[in-house]
This record gives sequence, structure tokens and C-alpha cells, in this order.
Amino acid sequence: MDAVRSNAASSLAPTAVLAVLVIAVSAFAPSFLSAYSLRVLAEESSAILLLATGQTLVVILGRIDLSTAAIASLVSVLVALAVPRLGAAAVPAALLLATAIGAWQGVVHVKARVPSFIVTLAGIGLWSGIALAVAKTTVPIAGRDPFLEWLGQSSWGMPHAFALALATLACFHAAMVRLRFGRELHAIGLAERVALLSGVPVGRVVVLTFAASGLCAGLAGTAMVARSGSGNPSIADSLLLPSIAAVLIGGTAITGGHGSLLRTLLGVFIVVVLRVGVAIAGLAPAFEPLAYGLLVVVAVAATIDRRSIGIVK
Amino acid sequence: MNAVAIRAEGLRKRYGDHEVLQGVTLDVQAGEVVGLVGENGAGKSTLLELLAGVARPDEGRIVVRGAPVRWRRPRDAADAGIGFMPQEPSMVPGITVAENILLGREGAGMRFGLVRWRAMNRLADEALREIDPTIAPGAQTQSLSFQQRRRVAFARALAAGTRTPEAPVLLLDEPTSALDPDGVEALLRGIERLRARASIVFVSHRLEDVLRVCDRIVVMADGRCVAERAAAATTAQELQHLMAGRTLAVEMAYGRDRSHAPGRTCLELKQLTRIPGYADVDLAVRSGEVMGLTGATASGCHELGRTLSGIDAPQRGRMSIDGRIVVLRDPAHAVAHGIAYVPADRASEGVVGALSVAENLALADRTGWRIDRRRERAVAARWIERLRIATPSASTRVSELSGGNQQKVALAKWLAGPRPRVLVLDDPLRALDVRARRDVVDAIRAAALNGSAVLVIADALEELAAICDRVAVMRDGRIREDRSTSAATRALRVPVERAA
Amino acid sequence: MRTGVAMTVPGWMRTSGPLLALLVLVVGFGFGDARFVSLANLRTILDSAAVPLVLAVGMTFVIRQGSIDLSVEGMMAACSLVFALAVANDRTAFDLGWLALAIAAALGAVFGLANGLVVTRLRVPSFMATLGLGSVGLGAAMLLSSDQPPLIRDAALRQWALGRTIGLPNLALAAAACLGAGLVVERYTRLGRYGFAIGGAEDVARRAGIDVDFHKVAVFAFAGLTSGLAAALESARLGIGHVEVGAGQMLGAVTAVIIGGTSLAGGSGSVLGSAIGVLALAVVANGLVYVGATPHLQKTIEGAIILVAALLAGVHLHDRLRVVK
Repeated sequence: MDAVRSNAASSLAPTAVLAVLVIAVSAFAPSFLSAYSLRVLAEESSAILLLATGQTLVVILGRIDLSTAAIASLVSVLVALAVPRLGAAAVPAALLLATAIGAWQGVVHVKARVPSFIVTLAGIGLWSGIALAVAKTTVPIAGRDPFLEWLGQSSWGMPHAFALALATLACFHAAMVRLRFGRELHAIGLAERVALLSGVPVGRVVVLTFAASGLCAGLAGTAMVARSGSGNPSIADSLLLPSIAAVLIGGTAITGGHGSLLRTLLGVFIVVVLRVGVAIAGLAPAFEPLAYGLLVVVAVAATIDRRSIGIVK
Repeated sequence: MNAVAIRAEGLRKRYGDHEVLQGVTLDVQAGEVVGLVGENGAGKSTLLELLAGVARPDEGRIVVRGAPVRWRRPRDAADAGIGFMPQEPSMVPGITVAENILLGREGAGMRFGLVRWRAMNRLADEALREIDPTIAPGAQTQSLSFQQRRRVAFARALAAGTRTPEAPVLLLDEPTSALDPDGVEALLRGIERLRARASIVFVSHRLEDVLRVCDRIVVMADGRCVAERAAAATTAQELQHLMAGRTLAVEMAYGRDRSHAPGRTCLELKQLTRIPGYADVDLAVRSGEVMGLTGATASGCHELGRTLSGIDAPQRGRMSIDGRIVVLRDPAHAVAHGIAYVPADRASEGVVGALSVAENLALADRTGWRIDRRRERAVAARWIERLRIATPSASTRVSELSGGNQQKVALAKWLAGPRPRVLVLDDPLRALDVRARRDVVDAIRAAALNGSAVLVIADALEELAAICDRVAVMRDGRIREDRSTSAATRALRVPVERAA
Repeated sequence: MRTGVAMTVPGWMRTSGPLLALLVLVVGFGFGDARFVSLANLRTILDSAAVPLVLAVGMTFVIRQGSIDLSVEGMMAACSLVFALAVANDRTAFDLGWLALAIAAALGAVFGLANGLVVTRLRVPSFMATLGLGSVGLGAAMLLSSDQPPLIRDAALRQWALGRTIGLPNLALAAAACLGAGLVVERYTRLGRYGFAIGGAEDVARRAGIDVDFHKVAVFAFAGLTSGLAAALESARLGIGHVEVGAGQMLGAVTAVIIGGTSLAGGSGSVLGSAIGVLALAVVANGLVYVGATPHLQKTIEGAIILVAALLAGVHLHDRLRVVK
């Protein structure tokens, strides 16, 4: 009974919050709903949406990936550096690397029984450190890559990067709903012991999921480097908390098992409207981290499945 | 007249839909050692937990030294002079022995939030000296051996008991389990030393220990006290007979299909060892055969089940399926080899409560990438009917079903997919009503008829007699008997617990 | 039998391992460049280790309890701003001198209290609770800073922060005092001892009647206090109140605590070990410069160390069915 009720609440609440926010911001600045500003919103959302997509899958498993922003920054730097040398192969190579990094973190987590937040916490250090070592500061793309150029443009008012992000989300969502993999993710998040005993290859699923998170982070880094024309070792740093917040605010429980990518989409919109809204309303940028922090705590407290945590640490 | 140290009156306790204690009344006189015996699930541990304040009774009351008490936390019972040594005592590893003994009630050892080490060690030593003077109160707990830690747990119970000026009441739940013979001896002698000035309730499955140190023995079965004997006036044989008091054998004559002959050996274990747990186990189960495995506490049969399921790895020995040796890396690997395991704890290991019946039934089916919801609904409908699972629909969450129906889902999950080569069931009939038992038993027999090699692990021989073709009995980690059921049911009423 | 933490890492390695590692590092770098072991350089190392040590003392208690505090950076930002605005500075008229130190510490404690309450009352896991509240702290700091970080004008304070007594940097002495306080709490107070119980076997602690929630909140408050203190010290040294004061400190503090032998699973460890961990990291950072390696490698090394330490801590967990999230 509890699960049903909390699910209903966590579906309605985000929609309501989004509606309230949009209304509030439009009241401050009527131009908020214009085509131009919507495009800006979409551009701002692309990277966060990509990061949040991978994160959602990880959180449904009951884990967390703190390294997504670091991986994205690393990819932005590597792509910027590699385009002059590898041309069009730079982006696929970087994405492959990002996926491999994610998979590696998953393997360490599974084989060595290291909690996911520790592995990915270490990952922040590892991947940021490498990014910093490779490129002390902003690295402009010194060559031409048609894909990156395309990614930085828009058609009919829709930024291509945003379209990519939506397409990625749609693909993963379809996989979650149609493939056995999706149900196994939920089962592992809800009752891992049962899944294990039922023959679900839990280790493999976990590694795949972290690999997917790495891939999404790589895509986010690619989108960012396409948009700004240059890579930077800390380009995505400020996006970690908003992307996690988006997942949680959308209603995916940090305890795992419950959640969906559609909810994350909602969460991303809330987060971005907040971000843009703060700027438009003339509030100090300080309100962004303030709002995120509070929203995260409230969202987690509201959606947490209390029965599945015996002891809260 | 001896005063009554502690008394339970009409205690009832229910966990979920299972009534564990059904009105227990028990007296412990001052200075008496009362033995409490019974099969697994009889309610002994629960009774002790209620007396120790760890849980609260749903009905009934507890009277301590003539005054009724209502405890809200374990601390209250300890403050009243009740010392409790739980079956799985846990010590906090990172602190000293003295701290563990006095944890939560340091008394003079802690004042104004500051630790006074000398007082702490002295207080702890008072209890420790009685049990094992060789252990220093200042020692780090993690440097102690397992045996030593058990003794510290005993000292902790004693320390609680001696808080008040009145004689302590000690509740000991299987204090000798997993101890080596020296450890058992030391513990029994400790009890004997204390009997003059303490009232003790001693729960154990080792009847010879109980007969040795107790004045009086109470037998529990199915949540009630069913018999009482003076220790000097009874034997282990009589106690066993009283413990098995249920008339299950009558219900269980389901009529087996004897015309069906089992096939080749499917599952074979040779010298399988995993200490602590079991050692040198040789077992063979044929396709189409239902084999039973039983034993009392710490007999090793449940541990063996967990090895077969891939949860724990054996330290030595070999396991083969259909003639090929298998080394199981993990449960998923076991499933890939065709081993299906239905665990004892159905709520946390058998079903995913938040998923629907249909989803649970599909969980073990690993054919294909995609989800075919229509097929799943058809499968669910079929098995809901076959096993008579009481559920509003196939999309009801399993957590809303009763325990018995959850068990049916946990079992059907394996029957709905490809035929398992080996089906291992741990305590499948526990807490099921008569009709549910019949349905589950039918399903188990059907699985065997279908060609699976079935192993049923249970605590009571009677439960197995009607469903199994053969029964193996384990004790203290080894197989003692292995014979066909007809011979077993008669012969095994003779006590098996003579030393091997 | 499963009673909490078993060990395959031998006992001697746990206790003297970190110290040995530190000695090896010092000797190694010394061989690389003799200037490394000069008195001046050793003083520099101590100075750079002061603030991380204060943080590590608080973090030790948190990790020992089985929790984690990811709010360090945000908390330090907020406390740094408050501290800078409370002493003689170029933006406000306050001139509270040493009192400001106490205020910063108290503010940190209040923050920590909030952390603890969110964890115990709202049942939010500590890493999410502290991540969120740290962000709130950062926002608060940004508000106070409003693009004009206050410069500290209190000459006496700055002189103290940059000066020495008996040949040792004052900040290092302050950190040592903090370490001493941590040691006393750890060994001689109920708060310290119960922390071991709560971290090592929380259910046992609860059944024994320990008010687990109260102690958890107290530990978070203590960690917050050390963060506030660290922020004040760092701001005094830098002469400015800035939102970036805590940047990178959190990873360093966690790494130091883990190197020092405190297991992530909780229930063990000591502030002394963490102190050695802090020194080891400071030595590495300093030595890398002498050897000519890029300082950016430090972040990578910290990440690698956390990983290795976590690997070693998890080595003994044989139960296949145990779920690690």
C-alpha cells in the first residue's frame, strides 16, 4: 500500500512544482515563454539531461554515480585536443573511452565490493585530475568536425544537442520498458538478494549500467564542447548536483527500485527552469545552489522508501 | 516456599500473519535452572526475547519477583536484573572487552560523559572472573577468538543480571551453539557455578546438556508449552517424543505415486565441506526423486542448501550435476546450471514484494531479450490456477498476498520457466495452513514427476515423511542417517543424537 | 560466524602501516632532492597540513560512525565568509578578533547539527543529506560574498596565522591542539566510545539502550565545528573570506582518514591515524613539486588512494549475498 501511495505522490508533485515554477517565472518576466527563451532553456538542458539520464539508471539500481561531471569534463578536453589529430573519429573514440571508464568503475564496484559512491568519489579525483593534467585550462577545438558543428546548431528553433539528449532518453526509456534488462534493473534495486537468487546476472547488469552512465556523461561532454567551441577540465563541474537533483526531484527514489526516465525529464525541466528563472528574476546566482540543496533534501526525504533502509547511515 | 523469580502469563506474539507464541505460561523459581527445548519454530527464542524486553508481547504479561512489568526497551529489562544472551550475540568489534560487557549500562564506569577506565575494568572484571579469568577486561574485542567472544557475551548477560541486589535472572538462548567441546564444557560449568545464586532459563537443542545442568525441563511446540518434566525423571528419548508432538503425520498421508521410478543420479555431492556448517557430506539425488534433508539447530542442513544454491562456496569437496563437476561462482551461475533454490526467508529472498505476481513469475525466466507481457499474463493465469494462489489478479503486488501465497509464487517462479535440473527448497512448508501445504506438496511432487531432482530441507522429520522418497538426517554438520522413508519414519523415532 | 568486521589485513599493518608509509615517503623524496628534508621545507609541510588536519579530525568521527560528510566545502565557504565579515575587514564595521573564531566554529556546529537532524529525523542517507546541505552552505556563502569577497584587515590575527612559535607554524600548533582534543574525546568520553559501537554494530548499540540518534547528531555537529574552525584558520592565513576556501578539501580529508586506517565500514580507526594520513598527503603534494611532477596529479593520486584503501577495506567480505550499494 505504501509503495502505491508514494508513487502517486511522487508523480503528481514534480508536475505541480514545474507548473508553479513556470507560472512564477513568467510572472516576473513575460518573455520567458517566448520561442527564443525556450531555445535557450533547451540548450541549457542538454548536458544536464544527458547526465541525468545515465544517473537515473544507476539510481534505480540503488547506486549513485558521482563521477559523471568529471567524465564529461574529461571528454570535453579530450575531444578538443583530439579533433585536429583524429578528425571525425575523435568523438566516437572519446565516447568509447567514457563508456570504458564507466564500465571500469562498475567492475571495481562489483568485484571489489566497494560502495558505488566511494568508487565514483574516487573517480571524481581520478578523471578530473587526468583532465587537469592533460589541459591546464580551456582548450579550443583546433580543427573541424562536422558532427560537432552540427551539434552546436539548431533547426526550427530546436538545438540539435537537445534533440540528441531527448533521443538518448527515449532510447533508454524504450529499453527499460521493453527489454528484460529494464525489469532486472528494477528488481535489483528493489530486492537485490531475490534477483540474485532468481538467476539475474546482477554483476553484469550493474557493470552495464555504469557503462551506460559513462556513455551518457561522454555525450554530455561532447554536447558542451560543441556548444562552447572549446573543452575545459572543469566545464561540467557545476552540473553534478543539478543533474542528481533532477533525478531525485523527478521522483526517482534514492533507495532504488522505483523511478523512470520520464520522471527524470520532468526533473530536468524543473531544475533548468529554476536555473534560468533565477537569472531572469534578477536574483543572485547564489540562489541556485541554495535551491538545489534544499530541493534535493526535500525530494529524497519525500521519496525515500523507508522500509528498505534498515539503518540509515 | 521458593519465590518465583520471573513468570510469563499467557504471552502471545504474532509476526505478520504467523502467530509465534500462542499463549505461553511459564514459571521460573528463584535459584532454579529451567531448560527450554523444542524444535525450530517452536517459539523458544521469541519467548526469551519477550522476557528480556527485546520485543513486546501482543497479549499477556510478565511478572518479575512478584511485580508485573511492562518494558519499553531492552534496557529496562537489564535494569531490572535480567541478563540476556541472545542466540546470535554480536559484539562490537572496535572496543574493549569491558566496554562490550557494560555497553549501555556502564554505571560507575562512565560519569558526566567521561570514561573512567579503572572503574570500568573493575566492574567488568567482576562478571568476567566468573566466566573466564584469563580474558583481560582491557583487551581489544577483535583480538579474541570466537570462543572467547561467546564467553564475553555470557559475561555481559551476567553483568546485567547482577546490577540489582536481588538474585539475577539469566536468559541463555543456545549459548553453546558453534562452540567446540571445550567451550561447551566451560560454559556448562559456568552455569553450574552460578546455579546457587541465579535463576536461569537455558535454551538448547543439545538435550544431553539440558539434562545435565537443569532442574526442570519445559517442552515447547507450536508456540505453546506442551509438557514439563523434572530433569532427573526424564530421558532424551522422551523429550524428543514430546517435542515432535504435532499430529502432522496424519495430515500428511497424501498418497504418493509409488509407480513412478526415479531416473539417473542428477545431483551428487562428495565430501562437501564448509566449516562451520557441515563437513564430509556425501549425498546423491536422482532425477524424479524427492529427497529430504533434516536436522536440528546447527545440524548444517540449511547451510548445505545455501551452498547448493551458490550463495556460499564450499571449502572442500565436489559437486556434480548430471555427471559433470560444477563449481558455483554465485547464485546466478547456479541458476545457469539448472539449480533452482527456494529460500526459507520468502519475504526477503523469495519474492520481490513491490513487483506483481506476473512479474515475479517471470523473474527467473531468462529466455529472450524482450518482455512479452501477453505471454507473462498467460503464464501467471495458469500457475495461479494450478497452485490455487489466492490473489485478486496477476498484477497485484506480491507484498499484499499472505505468507502462504507468497510462498506459492516463490515456488511457481521456478516451475513456470524451463524445467530445473535440481530444485532445492528450504523449509517450504513453514507457517502454511493445511490447504496451502497440500498445494505446495502437490507442486513439489509434480516437479519431481517432471524430471527434476528435488531436495527438501526441513526441520521436522514428520514434514518430510509424506513427501519424500528418501530422507537424510544431519547432526552437527554431518549426515548420520540416509534411508528410504518407510524405514526412516519408524527407525528414526529412536533418538539419533547419540555421539557418532 | 559473522560479527562485524573481520580482518585479513594483519593487525600490525593496520596500526603501523600508515606510519611506515609516511617514513618511506619522506625518505624517498629526501633521496630525490636533499632540499626536501630541510627545516624550512618541513615547516612548509606542517603549515600546509594544518587546515586539512583540523578537517580530518572531524571527518574521522563521521566515517567511524559509518557516515560521510560531503558538505565540507559548502560549510567552509559559509563559515569563511562569516568569519571574514566578523573580524576587522573592508566591508563591515565588526572587529571581533578572536571571538570570530568561536563564531565560525559555532556556525559550523549548527550546520553539522542540521546535517545530523536530516539524517536521523528525515532518514536521508548521509551522503545525500550532506551533499544537499553543503550546496545550501555554498549558496549562503555566495550571498554573503556578493562578488566582493571581504578582505581581512585584522593585523594581529594575520600575523598570528602566518607566524611561528617555538619554531613551528602557529596554524600547525592550533591543528595539533585540535588533534589533542579529538584524541581525548575519542578515548575518554562517552561520545567517542559510543561512536565505535554505533559504527561497528549499530543494532547492538541500539539494543544496549544507547541513544543512537543523539550521538549521530552530536558527531555531525562536531564535524561541522571542525569545518568551521578550519575555515576560519584558512581565511586568516589567506587574509580573505572566499567561497572557494574549501575547494578540494573534502576529497583530501576523506583520503587522509582512509589512509590513516579508519575503515569506511565504520567502527574502527583513530584521529592519530588520520593525522598521519594528512601528513602523508602533504608530503606527497610537497614532494611532487620537488620531483617536478605537475601538482594537478595530486587530485588523481587522491582518487587512486581512496580506491586502494577501499579495496583493502573490502577484501575480507566473503559473504556473496551481502548487498553493497
